[in-house]
Amino acid sequence: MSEQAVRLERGSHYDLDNLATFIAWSGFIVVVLIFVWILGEILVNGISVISWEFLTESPGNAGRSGGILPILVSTGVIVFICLAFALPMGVATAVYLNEYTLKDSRFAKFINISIDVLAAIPSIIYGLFGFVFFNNVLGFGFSLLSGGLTLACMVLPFVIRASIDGLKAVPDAYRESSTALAMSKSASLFYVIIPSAMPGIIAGFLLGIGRALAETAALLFTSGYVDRMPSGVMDSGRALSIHVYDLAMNVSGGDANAYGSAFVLIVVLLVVNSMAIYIGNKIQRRQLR
Amino acid sequence: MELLDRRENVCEMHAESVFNDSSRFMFCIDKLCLCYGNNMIIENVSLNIPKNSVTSIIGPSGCGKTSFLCCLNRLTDLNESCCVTGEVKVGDENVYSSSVNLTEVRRKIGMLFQKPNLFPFSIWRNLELPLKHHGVRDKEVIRLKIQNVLQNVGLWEEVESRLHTPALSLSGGQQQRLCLARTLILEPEVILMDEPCSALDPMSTKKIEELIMELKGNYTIVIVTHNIAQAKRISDHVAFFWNHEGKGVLVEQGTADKIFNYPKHELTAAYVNSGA
Ligand SMILES: Nc1ncnc2c1ncn2[C@@H]1O[C@H](COP(=O)(O)OP(=O)(O)OP(=O)(O)O)[C@@H](O)[C@H]1O
Ligand SMILES: [Mg+2]
Repeated sequence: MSEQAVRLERGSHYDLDNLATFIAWSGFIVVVLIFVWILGEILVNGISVISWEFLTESPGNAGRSGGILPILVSTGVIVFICLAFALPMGVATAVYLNEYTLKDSRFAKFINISIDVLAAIPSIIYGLFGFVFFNNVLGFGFSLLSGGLTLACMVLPFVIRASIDGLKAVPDAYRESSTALAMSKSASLFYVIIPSAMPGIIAGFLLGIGRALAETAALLFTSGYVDRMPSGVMDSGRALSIHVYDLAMNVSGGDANAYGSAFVLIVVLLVVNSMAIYIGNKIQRRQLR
Repeated sequence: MELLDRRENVCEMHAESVFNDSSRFMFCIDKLCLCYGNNMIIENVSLNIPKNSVTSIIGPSGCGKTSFLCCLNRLTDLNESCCVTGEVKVGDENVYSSSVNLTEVRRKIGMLFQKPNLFPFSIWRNLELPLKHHGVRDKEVIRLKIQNVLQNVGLWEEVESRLHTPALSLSGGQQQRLCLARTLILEPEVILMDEPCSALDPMSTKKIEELIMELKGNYTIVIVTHNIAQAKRISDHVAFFWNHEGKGVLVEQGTADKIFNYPKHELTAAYVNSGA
């Protein structure tokens, strides 16, 4: 091969390299731009609405004026109910799958596939299911309870996955040494394995909160959208994301408060997500050690 | 003179095999076989391990030494594909019989692993947890035991001021000694050690060896080691394993003197002299 050919070949390698770098970078920049744009728009338009009154007053005039207190309360109650069911069930399922079933048994495989399928179902389907099952069959009607339980079903696969990942990250050496110390299986689970898997479980918890907060479709059918203060878990109430949707789509002149509500929602989500990332990093650091 | 010595040794050996008094032995292992799935890993090992002495298990990598050790406290249960046949008697109890009280057996048999495997909690919590699980509730008793056991492994001065910091922040050698402390705190009769020094520097290794020499009056120690010099330094008895067509077999066993100085089997001779 002549010297020039070699140079040419090298040159084309460089070109390819440059192209790849360019594509990677432009992808990165587009993502960042979209993120900044959405965030910026909501922050800029929303921040002027935020005030103490906005957070502590009831909405008036279909949400055009007033604040979002009842909506915050409903949202809180729904998320609480959701996690109160999804967390224990999710962690228990994960412990069962990871610690008690044989790794490649048919049953474990079946449950694993079910979890993936459940995670892929669109939320509107969960909404329909919740409407049929919780509202009608169980007779909870439009209520925070129905909404919370429907969200629990929706969030469950994610909590299970995160908890399984947390449990998988616990080195087998812990199981060996606790067994060698004559600890019973349940004791080593409660005192060693689950505490060691806590970061993963908490990450699942936060992921659950994030998804529950962001949900609209599944709640429309189940917890309803009245914007008054709920009188209890059997009363219906409006979640934050539904409020944003309603103000933006159905109420003319509701834009300012829609931005304000979106602002609150985004801030909460950002806080929850960064906590999840922080804890996720912590897990990784521990695995490296 | 040397000849005489040798004759004495032979007599001793002979006496040992005839005088098969089971109360001298901590473990009586009979026709032990171990499979992972369909692979036989250990074939037909019969071995008696004497009380209050150090028995070394030596042999090339992959001949089933770790697996053998895991049979002694039935840690093999953790692996679903592992199946064991034969008998492992501790005292009068067969570890593998279904009626055995596993908690009691495992409490009697402590184990130290190749890599220090402390829990990701504080030093204190690592020692307190096994105690509490075995019913020691009194705070003062726990404190005394922890101090006592840390002094025994020579760690007290080093960690006294930071008992409540994460155990994983200790150095490797300190972690291994803490593992030993955690094992000792349950007052076992046997300590199984799987290459306890392989990840340690010579100084830490020396410390562990000194501890082994101190402990062997009161404990039965079974140690797997790749370090023949170490085996020579510390062991009273030696069992030599070999990988025969993919299966671990026991080639030769006996007192340290016999195995190292007068090996009967040529494999043994080659192996023990390869490191010297
Ligand atoms: N969990 C397991 N599943 C299947 N096979 C295993 C398992 N653990 C060990 N083995 C196999 O059993 C054989 C013996 O392994 P073992 O760890 O007991 O050897 P070893 O003598 O301790 O080796 P080393 O000196 O390298 O530690 C090896 O061939 C290994 O591949
Ligand atoms: Mg080994």
